[in-house]
Amino acid sequence: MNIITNSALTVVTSAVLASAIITPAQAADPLRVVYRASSYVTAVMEAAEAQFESNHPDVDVVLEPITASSRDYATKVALMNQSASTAADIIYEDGFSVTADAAAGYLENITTRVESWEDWDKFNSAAKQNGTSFIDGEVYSLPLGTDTQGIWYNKTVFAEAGLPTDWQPSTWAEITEAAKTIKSKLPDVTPLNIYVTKASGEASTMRGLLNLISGTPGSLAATFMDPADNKWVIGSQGFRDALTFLKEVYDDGYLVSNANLQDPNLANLIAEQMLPEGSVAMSIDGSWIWSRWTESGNAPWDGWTEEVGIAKIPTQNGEAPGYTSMSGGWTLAMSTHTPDKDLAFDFLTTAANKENSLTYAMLAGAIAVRDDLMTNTDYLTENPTAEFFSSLVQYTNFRPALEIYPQVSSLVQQTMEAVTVGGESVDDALSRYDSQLTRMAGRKNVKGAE
Amino acid sequence: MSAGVRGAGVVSSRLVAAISRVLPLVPATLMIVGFFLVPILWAVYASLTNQGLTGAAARNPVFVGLENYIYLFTDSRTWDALARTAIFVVFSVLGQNVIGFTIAYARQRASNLVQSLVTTVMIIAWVVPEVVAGYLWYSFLSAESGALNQFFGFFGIQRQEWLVTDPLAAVIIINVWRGCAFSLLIYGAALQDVSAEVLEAAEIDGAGTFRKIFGIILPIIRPVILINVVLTTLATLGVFGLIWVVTAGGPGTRSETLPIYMYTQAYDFGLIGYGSAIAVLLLSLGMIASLFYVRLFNIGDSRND
Repeated sequence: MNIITNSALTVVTSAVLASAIITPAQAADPLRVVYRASSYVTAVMEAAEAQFESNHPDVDVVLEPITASSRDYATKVALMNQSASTAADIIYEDGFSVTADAAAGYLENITTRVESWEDWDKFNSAAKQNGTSFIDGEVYSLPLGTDTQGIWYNKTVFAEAGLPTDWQPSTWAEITEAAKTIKSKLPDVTPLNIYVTKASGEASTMRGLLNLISGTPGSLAATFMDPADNKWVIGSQGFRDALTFLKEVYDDGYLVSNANLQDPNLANLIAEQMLPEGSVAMSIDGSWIWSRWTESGNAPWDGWTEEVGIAKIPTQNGEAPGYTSMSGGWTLAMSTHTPDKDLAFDFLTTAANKENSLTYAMLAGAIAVRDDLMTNTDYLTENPTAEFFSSLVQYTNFRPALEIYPQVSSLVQQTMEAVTVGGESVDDALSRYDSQLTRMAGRKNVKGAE
Repeated sequence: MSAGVRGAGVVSSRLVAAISRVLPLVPATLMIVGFFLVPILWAVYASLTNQGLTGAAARNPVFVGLENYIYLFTDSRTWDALARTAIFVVFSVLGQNVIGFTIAYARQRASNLVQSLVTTVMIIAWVVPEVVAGYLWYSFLSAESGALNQFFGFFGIQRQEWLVTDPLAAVIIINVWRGCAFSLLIYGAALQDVSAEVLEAAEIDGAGTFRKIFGIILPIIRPVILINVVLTTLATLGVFGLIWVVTAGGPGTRSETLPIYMYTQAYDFGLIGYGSAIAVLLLSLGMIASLFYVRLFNIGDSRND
């Protein structure tokens, strides 16, 4: 009797286990929107949600903000995309991941849809690249904003150190010189912020390293990735010089403390606290950080338009065209797993309509990607830096949107961290970079510098 | 006729008995196959492909044979991570066992109140989840606001960047701190089995404390030592969360052990196939270590007979 009871129980247990394994996950009815949490993205998504739900009263939009570093955000979203039951319908996506995620089959091709969308012509063509796959040239994502980079500096600190308040370096050495002056005159001030660690994620690659190597002879094609044959470059002088520059400014004590460098929140700390209070004199940073200082920003700063200077990033030794910059920007895509593609695309166009794009550009401090906004007087008066940063577009570079870029970017961050906080020699770090890059891209996709 | 029916009845009842004997094993077997064997086999398979987290290799992974392993063993980063793992494991195991035993030995001769106090404190350290323990140590050691530096600063001693100067030593100390309680419990129990008569006899023969420990106690509890070393080794080989929270393998790669290396390759660099190859390497190391210890343990057993 006991045996029979036991066996019966066993059968029931096994059946329960089996059914747990076999039962397919329920299809997600609501439209799930995943994005990296921040006040400005939340504001835009909530506005889009309200507009969308008033047009589609039967559809429930569920916002799923993810609080994570940019690296962890990308990993989390990639893991969600592994299965139809966990993938979100709408994905807020950094432009540099679009090619990789399109190739992985995570993002839906929206080329024909955007072509029949009346607003598409209003998007400027450089920004459109940000949502386009480098491999097939098809559109996978709608650009929400773009950016350029400069050197932000606190004029009060510069004046105290006896430096000009209309400062514009023309070589890397002039940046170091200014840092040296500040360090000797104002020992309590950190002269320079450059993002150099894994903790700062993509900011380190793009704002830290690429802003430097794009200003070395031959620019990114000779130092990083050659678009002529799509090969990654190893052993270039420009790359070595940039790492050496970073190591020198670190070793000379011009950068913020190790603890700050290892803090994933450093970018916010710089923009909202250290630069305004003058504990950091200058920062190589993106065109959007002013948005934190407006009345509705996280760190309102009344006199910022008077107290902040912005310089162009010089090339290494002042080589033509004299200055350089990098551009990127976030985009909005829909998942291949979303059941109702028309509905999902409707959400995309709602989120990227003129009104929401304006909100995004204002709150995020982004350079607007819609031409109908670049003439908008509200936008231009609200963003006094728009003209300056738009003028950098002539010098700007885009990140190679190859599908392994996100991986290479992680590797770059590790290499930068190794030569600075890690105390390794440039030679050791470079040789590991070369072998790992070869590992990632495959031998046939890598070439030595010419 | 009736014999035939009886025969069939016997057969069927035997069959029922056999099934009812095997059936209770089914859930456990399913569990082991589903949650242990299948993932291992999947990892071995994935390690032979170029499976990625994103890009075309995520959609259509290609079989690449032993390419991942060739890269793995020719890359100096692997050997560096292996060396760090070895240092991490050896010193963690050594530290946990020596300190665990010492405290257990000392505790035995303390008053009841002290005994229960020590046990409680040690167990709290052990029960705290590793992420929490890691975070506590991070805030204790970190340079700017760390408690240790504030304490030193109070006495005018120069601040140290503990997690930058020697990150590997820092994570070893943290891991020893956390793991001691386990060894303490094991050795505490083992010490109670060492009979008082034997120790008394040794004392009469004139053995000092040192002699008693090395000549009497340790040989008697040798099987326990072996088991404890096996358990702590295997637990230490897989430590990930603690290191990840405190240093994330950095700065650079200076505290990157194999589990951290595996995670970095698989989820930061998106190389799932390559990460799986590292996982297989880690698994093999664990199996080799346990086989080695099991063999040592068997020899110990047969000598006891």
